Amino acid sequence: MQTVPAAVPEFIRDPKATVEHVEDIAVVGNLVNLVKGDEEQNTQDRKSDLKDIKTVALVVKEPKADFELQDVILDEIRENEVLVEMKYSGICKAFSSPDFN
Amino acid sequence: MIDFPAILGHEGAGYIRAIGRSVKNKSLRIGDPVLLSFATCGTCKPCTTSHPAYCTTHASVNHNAVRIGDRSTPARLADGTSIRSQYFGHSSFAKMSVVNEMCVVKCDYPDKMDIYAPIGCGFQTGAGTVLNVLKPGKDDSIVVFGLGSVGLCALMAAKYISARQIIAVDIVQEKLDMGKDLGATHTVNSREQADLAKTVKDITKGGATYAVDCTGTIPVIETMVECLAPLGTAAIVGVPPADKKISLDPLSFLLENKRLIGVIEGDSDPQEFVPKLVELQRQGHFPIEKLCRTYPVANMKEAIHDLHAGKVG
Repeated sequence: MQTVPAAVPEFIRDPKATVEHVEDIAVVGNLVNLVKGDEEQNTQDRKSDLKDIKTVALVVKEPKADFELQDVILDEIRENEVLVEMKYSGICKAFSSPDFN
Repeated sequence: MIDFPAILGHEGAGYIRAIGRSVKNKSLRIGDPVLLSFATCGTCKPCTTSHPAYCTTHASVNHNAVRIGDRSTPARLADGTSIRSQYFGHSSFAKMSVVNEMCVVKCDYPDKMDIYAPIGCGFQTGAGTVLNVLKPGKDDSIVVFGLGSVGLCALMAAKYISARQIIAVDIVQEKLDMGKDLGATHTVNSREQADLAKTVKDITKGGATYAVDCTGTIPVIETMVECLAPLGTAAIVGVPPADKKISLDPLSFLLENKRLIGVIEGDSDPQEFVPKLVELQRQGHFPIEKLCRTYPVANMKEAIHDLHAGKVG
């Protein structure tokens, strides 16, 4: 289960609330354990920063805009996250129409 | 609900390239093939009682496309513009994505990853509504409105558990033919019916025990309620337009003891349900390969056009 504060903040409870989104948090000393192959998970922590990953993505600039393939940079992976190289993605009609939202 | 610019995509499949230190699933390894499903808050009552699909913050946690804890987003353009990139916790329309750990389900059969990817949303929604929630029995009838992937998966699931009558309703003949091929006992082209509810009641001799709407359109949802037999249950599964209302006759609803429910993601617990559907596909009970067509990323526009034109599920 995701560790989220027990009191779920207001802006999460109301999906339509317009809230200032926090941008680009600079996390100091992000620790990521790179687990390779069959290595045991509890070998010494390797403090390597996995940051600023360059990749491409289909970006939608504004509602009803088309999908555009663009270069993007991924800031970092947090300790409760995983980096996935996407091979396939389904396209769901409900949420891919330019009219959605 | 979602700010722009954003990276959408919520049925991802790929390989793990890095693992955060405190990821709870300790069996994950770099290079593991995985399927990606929806995100949840993890703290509300449905989340803590094994109904993550019913997470009370499902809409914002998935559509806002930012991290739950601090509303930040991993992606940015070269010029620094922030891009919402945790749609459904994973934003799969990207070559690499930073994914919330809870979205990750191990895939034991990466050879068919292309057809398993949509299990993360569409397929489990249709199948789950029938297998986890409605559970029609051998004497029951079920009507499925709308034969996109969600509807066709509901149909396959109904066939798998041997519902007595499975009535498939759509306006596109190819979809109806596919429905017949996948196990519908009756197909109805709703454009050719003067009174769709009456047609269903005639076929079922009194009304359907269960009905599922996968169209998300107001008139169909209203008709769905009309089609039910007394004590029947209708499920709203397709996403209706925001701020629209349906109307129903509450007196007959009461006198016939009907039920109308909303079901998100088929009440699925992805860690358990996604592998189950993969198994069913391998056993031949869930032929989702018939619903899928794979397009290269460069043909995205064509793929979306075909999707909306009804050429592909």
